[in-house]
This record gives sequence, structure tokens and C-alpha cells, in this order.
Amino acid sequence: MSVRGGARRIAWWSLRAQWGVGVLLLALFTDVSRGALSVTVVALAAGVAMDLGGVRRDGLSRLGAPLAILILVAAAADLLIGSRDLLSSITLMVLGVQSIGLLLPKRVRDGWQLCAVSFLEFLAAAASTDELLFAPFAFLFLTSSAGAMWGLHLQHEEEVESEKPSGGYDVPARAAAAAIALSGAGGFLLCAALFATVPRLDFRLPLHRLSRAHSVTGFSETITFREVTGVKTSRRVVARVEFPVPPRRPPTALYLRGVSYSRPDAGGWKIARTGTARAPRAGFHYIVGSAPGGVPLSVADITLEPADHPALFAYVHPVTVEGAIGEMLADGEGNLSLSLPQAGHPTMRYRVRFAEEIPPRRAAAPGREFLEIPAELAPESALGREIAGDAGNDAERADRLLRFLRSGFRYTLTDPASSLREFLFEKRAGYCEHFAAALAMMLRGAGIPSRVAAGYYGGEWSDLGRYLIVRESDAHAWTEGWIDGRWVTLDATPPPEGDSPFLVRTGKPGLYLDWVRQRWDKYVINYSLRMQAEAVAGGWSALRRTGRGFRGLGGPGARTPLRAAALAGFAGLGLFLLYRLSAGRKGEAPHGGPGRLPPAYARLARRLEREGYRPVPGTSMGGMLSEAVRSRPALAGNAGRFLDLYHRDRFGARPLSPAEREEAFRLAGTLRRGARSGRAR
Amino acid sequence: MKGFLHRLSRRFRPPRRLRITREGKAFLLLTLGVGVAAVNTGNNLLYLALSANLALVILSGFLSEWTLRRVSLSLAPASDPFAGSEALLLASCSAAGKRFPGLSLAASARVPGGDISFRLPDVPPGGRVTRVVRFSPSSRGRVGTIPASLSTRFPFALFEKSRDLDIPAGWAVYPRPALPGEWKRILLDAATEEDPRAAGRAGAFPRGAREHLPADPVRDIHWKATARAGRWMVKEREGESAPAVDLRVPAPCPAEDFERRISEACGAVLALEERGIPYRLWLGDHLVSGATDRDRRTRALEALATARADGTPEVEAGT
Repeated sequence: MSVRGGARRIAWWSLRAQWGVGVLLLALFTDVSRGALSVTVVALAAGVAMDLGGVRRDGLSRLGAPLAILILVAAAADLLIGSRDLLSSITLMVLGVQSIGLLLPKRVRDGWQLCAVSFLEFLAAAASTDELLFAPFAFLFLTSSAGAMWGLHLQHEEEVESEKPSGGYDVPARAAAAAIALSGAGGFLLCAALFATVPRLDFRLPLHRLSRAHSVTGFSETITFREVTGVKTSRRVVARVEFPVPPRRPPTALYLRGVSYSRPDAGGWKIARTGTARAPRAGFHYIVGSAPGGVPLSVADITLEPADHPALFAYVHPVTVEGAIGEMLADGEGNLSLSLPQAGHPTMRYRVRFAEEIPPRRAAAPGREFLEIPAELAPESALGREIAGDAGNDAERADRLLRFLRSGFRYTLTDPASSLREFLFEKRAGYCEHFAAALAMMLRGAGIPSRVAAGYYGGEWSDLGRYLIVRESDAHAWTEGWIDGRWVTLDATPPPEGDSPFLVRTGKPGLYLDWVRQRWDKYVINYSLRMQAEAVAGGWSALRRTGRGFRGLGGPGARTPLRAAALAGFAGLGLFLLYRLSAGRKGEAPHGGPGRLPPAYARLARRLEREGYRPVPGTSMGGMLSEAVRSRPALAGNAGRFLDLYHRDRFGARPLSPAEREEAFRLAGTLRRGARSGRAR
Repeated sequence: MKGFLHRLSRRFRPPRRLRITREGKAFLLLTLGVGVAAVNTGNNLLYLALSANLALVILSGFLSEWTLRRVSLSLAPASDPFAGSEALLLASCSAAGKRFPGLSLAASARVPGGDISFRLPDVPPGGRVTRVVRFSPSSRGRVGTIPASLSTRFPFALFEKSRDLDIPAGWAVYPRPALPGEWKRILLDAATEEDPRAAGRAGAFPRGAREHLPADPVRDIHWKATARAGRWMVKEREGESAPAVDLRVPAPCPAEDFERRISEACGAVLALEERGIPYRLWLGDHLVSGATDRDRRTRALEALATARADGTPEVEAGT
């Protein structure tokens, strides 16, 4: 079949675009060998150039099978003596086969095979990433896939046509491009609807997720007063937090706790790692603490970006954690972590119910390990004991120590002390880890069990999506002291000075971009069965509310005439749509058929009938107009021309041209008005 | 009973038939694989890929429906169809009242003598595309409705969607015309008949009235002229300028002989038409085509196409 008018060209390019997007996705979102990818890109470009130039490659076709065998051998060699990685070898083989296919002449079957390979590349990228950048490429892939399959269909018809000629397509390029674009847009909408409604099952059979974890650093096993300017200048987002039940304090004043360090030594503070056990769970609900009586719980939905450590962040005093996060471990110090087969984790979303404060209570003090003081740190603890002095209770002693550190000590990232002793007795300048470690040691010196906690504090509140953006630069360390039967957060770190170069706010475009990313994370990457259930429940309750509202309209409880008006409006709209639908169906008859009279003609006929120009029911349009002209001769000219057009339009062999039809309608209007004025006189 | 069941099955047939192509099967298999991977891993981007594939399937359904709906097909003979010889059929596909073109359409129809198929790659909205196809009807008879189907693989060639149609035909397949040597006999039969061209009594054209003679039959009396003249008057006719031949096909007649007679009559009709000789065609006692009828040829051939051995008129063309 000859495909004329540009449709073939558009479909041809769509096919090549689909193959190209597959390779691009692989390059952008996976760690596939760059060398192999380069070969494929070169093969794609060469194939396109040769296809465009109409280069005949019949001789090359014979090389297809030997080259494929060669690729197979190379992949096997890579598996046995090269990378020794099955996935890598398979990828090499697929890319090799794809490169051969791109170079050789392509019949329809080859085109389908290349499309399938491209789709596998799309899947590999989907399984390897959760980046927002994937979204536009997914749309591009969907659109180009629609065009590519159409292109293959056209090519198939061309091959059939060579055996059985029958004319051909004559679709202009613009129409073809519009059709493909519409297919892409329609496909996108359908895809979105299906994505939202397909039940989000997750059986976790033997195959596992292939996604890569991106490293977020900042949490090591030890606090060592290292160089942290890199962390403090990083704008990388670590978490985004929404608050379905808002806390009493501003979200930026909450401590997002990751780990605690309770074993001090000369080098710093270390994680204890004692008593780690699986957190008790019921379905996707994990119980990690006891709910204090009389204290309202706040709720935070935390979306954690990929990280290379298993720590699970929660606001202080968490009670429950909800989400599909697999096994969760908890130790005796309130540290939560994920049980992961690999070091890091991908993007994950979970809900934390937490109590902002726990009231004083009678509880057994923690073990003596929280009062241990290494011999090397004796001067620091002695300083704490000295400052706390003879204060009456733990709270007062802690308050004295806090006031000591907040007066005469300076926050700095550029010239911090290298050790705790230097910080307390010489430089008196440091950053959060210095303050937290010093306070913890002094508390122990004053006889108060203490530990250092690390996590994030502060963040940037986005009014756009009403969520908190937590960045790597918000990493923070603080102290927890056992006071009045519970762990109390004590933060001795002074806020950084206002002109600090580390205080950078995000501009409006950045906030918009982050909002898009947040939506992507929330509604695509972490879309879950729970969200689906909530949406169904929400929709059902909205329906019931609407139903109740309508039921209340007619009864004695009818409150507002506005509702009655709305009901009447809906009913009227429904009737109107019904009428339009039936009118549309009646008007479907083609030209010249016994179809419904066009509205302009129908209005003229009704007017003539009302004016009494239709003496008997069977009188035709011509008869009525003759009657009208007899009583109103001025209409004669228009009536003659109109009747000519009318008869050709209704009963002619060919349809009227658009200009003639417009003229007929215009004349019908003129005659209608003329007939009215004639009667008025 | 068989016809009733056939009508019943056609009445309750689904509005569209769907066949999955080889590419479609591969596509669905791939989609199934993606679904398994998505359920297994819980990876939402794999669910996205699954949704994209399902969206393409649904989109394919929408677009093919838009292509197929409101497309009508008509089949009419482009040449006289005679049983046993090849004829031309004018297939016309129109997309009146459509906003979307009919693309990649393939039509097939079961016409007398076998199936025909042809392709219509592009039927513009509101337009009409015609094809001339050959067919060879095997037997004479009237063609009532032609079962046909329109199918398309548009847009992605994953499925082939078909729509069944019953095309009203209303035309007839004429009998196989006998060769000249075979139909001469029917003329000889006609010559043995009484000469219908008696002076003044037979003829197609009324000429006037004359006085009644004793040999004149009563049926020729011109009653009005008689009343006006006050004496018996009879109608006087003018005979045809050329002598008309009477072709008689006996009916009822044994079936095997009847078909031969029909074939001979058909051959004679064609030959007489070709030579411009007027004729009358009799089926049994029934005059089906007069010598001066304007559509004499068509009437004669249609009558021969639908004649039955027992003398009743209609016969359906065999398929």
C-alpha cells in the first residue's frame, strides 16, 4: 500500500523515536555498560541514516545469524570470565542483538522485535529508578510506542499491498502527528486512571526489587567531630513530611530522630547496638512505643528518600509506625531501623503517630551504661558536676548545664574544636555534635543518665504543598537526658548566626519543583493499597453525604432553596443532555437522506406555519413560501434563491458547498424575519 | 428450523468480533509478564508500565471502534451477473456522518458463488470509496441479503476487530445463457404456435374502431363507440412493425428439464435483444415480459432468474 500524505513519515520517525527512547532510558537510569550503550547508539544512528538513504543491505542480512551467535558467545564469556554477573551479561546480549537489528534492513517482524527490546529497556529503567525525570520519558515512550505500532501496522499493510493493490492511505502529516499526539494524551489519561485503580498488590515472590539506592550520608556508627561543611552545604532532600494531624509546635521545631549514641570514649560517641529485636507488628502497623495517657498524638507522613543506611527516622516519642516497609527493628534506646537484604533502601513512605511530649512519670531509671564515664573524659564530667553544683533535682541541674553552654560558647562550622576537651576548655566553639556530646558528658558527670541523638532538625516549610522539606543540611545532633522518669530532649546548640552562608532558602521555582517531586513520590512511587482504600472510603462517604443531602431536600428537613435549585438544575441538565443526545442521533442521517430538518430550515417552517402559510399539513416548503410571497411580494427574490438552494440541499445529488449552505441558512433567517414583519403589518 | 436458528444466531451475535493477532498475543504475554513482575516487586513504576500497556490496549479498542462505526457497505452488480460466468460487483463503502476516517478496513462478503474480499485503506469522513471486484455466481436466483463483514487492524495491529453486516441486495443472478445451437429450439417451438398477428385483431397499438363483423369476438367490442354510433363497433389494433417472437418456457415442468429451458430462454433473450427483435416471454401461461415493455430485457432476465419449476416466481441465488 502506498502511504501518502506524510503519515508514513511521521509513523517512521515515531518508530525510530521509540527505539531511541528505550536506549536513552537505559543510559539515564541504569548502570549498564557505557561501552555497550555507545555501540547501540552508533548502530541506531547508522541504521537510521541508512534507512533514510535507502541503502540496500541485502548482503548484510546474511550476517545476522552469525553475528547473533557471536554476541551470545561474548555474553557467555562475560558471564564466565568477565563480570560474572548474570544480569550484566544478559544486558550485554540484549544490547548486542538490538545493535544488529538496528543495522540490518527491517521488515515488520524485525520492527516488532526491536520494539519489544525497547520495551524491555523501559522496564529495566522502571525497575532501577524512582526519579522524577523518569515521568516525562515514560510519557514520551508511551506516545512514541503508539506511533511506532501504527508505523509497523502501516508497514505491514504496505507489504500486503505489494501482493494485493487497493489504493492507499492519504493522511496528511499534520493529521498523522495530531493523531499520534492525541493517542499519547489519551493513552496517558487512560494510563493514569488505570494506575490509580489497579489494586496495588505486593506479594514479594522470589524475585526482588532491582532499584538502586542513592547514598545519603551523615549517619555513621560514631560521632567524631569530623569535617561537616560538606553535609551542611548539601541541598539534597532527605525527607518530605506531611502532617495529617498537625502538631502543636511548628513542624520546623520538631526533632526527626534517627539514631542515638550512648557509649562515649576518647574518640567520640558510639552506637550501643544492644537488645535489637523485631518490632511487634499487626499487618502494616508496627508498635514502637506506649501511648502516654492524656497526651494527644500527632501524625506525620514521612517520605524518606533513598539512603545507604538502614536507619528509620521518626519524631521523638513515636508510638506506631505504619507502612509497607518490611521488617522493622527496634532496640532498647528507641532506635528504629529497617531489616534490609542490602545496605540501603529506596524511597519509602510511612506514617508515624507520635507524642510531642511525655509527662513526668515514675519509671525505672535506665541502666548504668548511660552513666558510664571513660577515664579520659573525667575532666569534662567533673566540669558538669561542678556546674550542676547542689541543684535540687535533675531538671534544675540540666537547666544549669544548658545555660552554661548557651553562654560563652560559639557555633561555628569553619573553625570547630577537634576534641571535646578543646571545645570545653580552649576554643569554646564548635557545631551541634560538640554541644550535644559535651552536654551529654556533663550530664553524666552530674549524675543524670544521658545519650547523644542524631537526626534532622528544622527544615523548610512549603506552603505550596503544606509539607516540610528536610535536607541533608538539616542534619543535627542533640542530647537526651533521663529526667523525671522519661527521656527529655535537651538541645544546647545555639542557632547559627543570621548571616551564615549555610542558611540558604529555596526560591519559588525550587519550591514548585520540589512540590512536583513530592507529588511524584507520594502518588506514584509510594502509591499504596492503603491510599487506594482511603480513596474508596472517601469517595463512598462523599456519595453517602451527597445522598443524604438530596434526601433531605424534599422532606421536612429541606433547609435551603439553594439545594432545591441545584437539584432542579441537575435534573434540567440531565434532560437537556438527553434531548441533545436524541437530537444528535436523529441528525446522523447523511446528506440527502430522510434526516431531520436542519435547525435553520425547521425554524423557518415553524414560523411560516405559525403565520398561517401552511393551510394543510402536507404543504411543502415551496408551497408555504409561495403563500408568503403572495401576501408579501418583497420576499420573492430571497424566496426564489432560497428554494433553489433548499431543494438542492435536501434532494440534490451532491451536497451544497459550505458557502452555499451558509447562504441558505442566512436566507432562511431573513425569510423568517420577513414573514414575521409581514404578519405584523 | 435451520433457517430459524441461523436468524436467531445472527440476531444475538455480538456487535463486534475480536481476533488477537500474532503481535497482539506477544504484546499481551509481555503485559502479563510485567503484571507478574509488578505484583511480585511492588514497584509502582512497573505498575506504571503495566498501566501503559493496558492503556494502549484500551486505546486500540477505542480507535478501532471509531474507525469501524458508521461505515456502511453496499454491493451492487457492475455488470449483468450470469450464473457460471465471471461478473463485476461494485462495492461501495461510505463513511457518511463520520468525523473519523475509516482506516485500514478490510471487507469480505459471501456473494453467490463464493466469498469475495477487498481492502479499503482510507475512507475519508463523509466520503465514499468504491471498488470493483470480480465474482462468479454459480446459480441463478434473487440475492436477498449478503452477509458481509468489515474488519480493521487499526491502529496497532494488536487486534483485528470485525463488524458483521447484512447488506440488502435485491438484485438477481441471471441464468446461464445457452449457446445459440441450444436455444434455436425454443424459437422453433414458438413458430409452431398460432400466428398472433391476425389482421386488425392483434397488436400492441389501438388504432380505432370499425363496424362489427360476425367473426369478431365479443371481447373486441368497443362499447363506447357502439353507444355513440348506435351500432356494433369493434376495436381495431395495429400490429407491431416488426414481428414479435414468443418465447415460451413451460411451467410446471420437471426440474432437470426446466433449468435447461430457462437457460435456453435466457440465451434467446440475449440474442434477440442483441438483434433488436421484439419478443414476448411466457412462463407457462403467464406473460412476464411484453414485446413493447420499456424494461423488457431486465424483466425477462429477472423473471428467468427467479422462475421456479412449479411455476411460482421467486428463487434465491445459491451461494
